[in-house]
Amino acid sequence: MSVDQEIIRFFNFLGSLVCHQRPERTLIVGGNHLPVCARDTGAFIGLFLGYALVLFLRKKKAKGPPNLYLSLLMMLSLWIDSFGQLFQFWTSTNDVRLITGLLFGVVLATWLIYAFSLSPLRGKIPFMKSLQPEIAVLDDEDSWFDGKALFVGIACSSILFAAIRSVVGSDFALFYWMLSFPIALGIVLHFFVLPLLLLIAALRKLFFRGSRKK
Amino acid sequence: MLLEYIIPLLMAQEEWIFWGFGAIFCLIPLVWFIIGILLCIWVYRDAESRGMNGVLWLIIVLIAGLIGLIIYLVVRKEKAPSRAAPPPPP
Repeated sequence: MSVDQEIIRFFNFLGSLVCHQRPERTLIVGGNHLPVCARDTGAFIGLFLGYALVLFLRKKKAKGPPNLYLSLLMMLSLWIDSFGQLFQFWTSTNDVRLITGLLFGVVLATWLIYAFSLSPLRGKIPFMKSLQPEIAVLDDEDSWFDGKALFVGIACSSILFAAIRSVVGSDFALFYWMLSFPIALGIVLHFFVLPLLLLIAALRKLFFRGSRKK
Repeated sequence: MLLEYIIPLLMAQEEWIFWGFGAIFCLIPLVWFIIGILLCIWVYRDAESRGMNGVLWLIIVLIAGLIGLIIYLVVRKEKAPSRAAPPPPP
């Protein structure tokens, strides 16, 4: 087996840990099925888009959570589509799964960063601490990631959706790698690295708290 | 190549590999599960402090996760102002 086939096999193995990988719900790019289904593809790509948007569009001095109403709207789209299909009200399509996944991923990124800034582990998670608000206050009306930023997120998700849609069915292998690498990285970061970092930070906090008491 | 070594190792049926990775795979969902539980506890306490039904919101957040939390943040009542001690007489 060649190296790229081994890597594809490994990516598929990673994808199998988090996704059903049903072939009819998975996008085919560069002659290969992506490691995860269309919805999860959107979610993982959306997560990285969300982190990039936070980097450039966050209001550093603001304390409030991301805009609640737009966050809800963007997340509910995925929920409604998923549950509508689950209860057989309709059958979704890969296009709808992809766009709802993208919107969900963008919002999830903003809330992950904000939520951890509220926890006792604020500033302990390496790749999040520079993005977190200086002070986070849930009741504050000045949103750290406001409606305008989320609208930009929606616009960027639409552009990404069109871009991904345009390469689906293509035989060009580069497109497969351009999508599967971030997906694999997203799985490793969010399902392995982040929980381990949280666990280490929590244990260190407990350990140092115990040491200080002595 | 490193991958030629790692991938067969991951797919191997060697017992220590199996148990080692098995332990990690069990630990990781546990971390997210604990975070979820802590979130539910926070929602319960916050709802109760605002005179809302803590149990109901705990169940909603337990089922709906982050969406439930955002819904809760949208609809939660204002906190009653704390009864501060009256200012001392001049």
